[in-house]
Amino acid sequence: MVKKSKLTFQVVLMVALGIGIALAVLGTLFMWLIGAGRLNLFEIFTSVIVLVLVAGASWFFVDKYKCFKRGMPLEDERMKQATQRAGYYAFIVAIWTAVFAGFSEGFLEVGQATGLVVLASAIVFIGLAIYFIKTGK
Amino acid sequence: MKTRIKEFRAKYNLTQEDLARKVGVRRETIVFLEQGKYNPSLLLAHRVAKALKTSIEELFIFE
Repeated sequence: MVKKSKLTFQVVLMVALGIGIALAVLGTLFMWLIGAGRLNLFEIFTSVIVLVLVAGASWFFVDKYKCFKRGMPLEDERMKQATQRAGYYAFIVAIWTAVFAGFSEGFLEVGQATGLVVLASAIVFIGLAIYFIKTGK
Repeated sequence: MKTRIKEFRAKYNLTQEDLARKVGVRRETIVFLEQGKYNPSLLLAHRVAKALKTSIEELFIFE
């Protein structure tokens, strides 16, 4: 009935995937920054958002690791509710950003518009998930 | 919603972490439950009530 954290294959896989994805994102960003030369405002903004997202995602892993060390469950119903609510708002933001991007023809390229949708929804998801988890709302 | 979790926890000399372990949630969830900031599922309310040897009606005060 009660879920306790154990060093299961799922936990190991989650940690390995988390570290792997974070390193891949940071590595890609670093390589891109080296080759990009002079950055425009949009590229600087995007890079900062990517770093904020990696920091936010790292918070989740550190939080889960702390729970694991204390023998507490990595996730409970409140955490699930918080992430589901954050996902709902992120989905709404993704739709409206896509609508906005659709009307911004000439201003944003397709790749930039796609990136904007992904980044906007990701930042809303991570920001709200952390907010809901920390405040209990 | 108010709760009497803190009162019952003190009665059985349980820390928030002890109760969290007993019902299988994170300690923060117990903190928010005590503060009335989180509405638990019926299953969690039942588990907490069972862990504190009382009933849901005794533990949660609906206003």
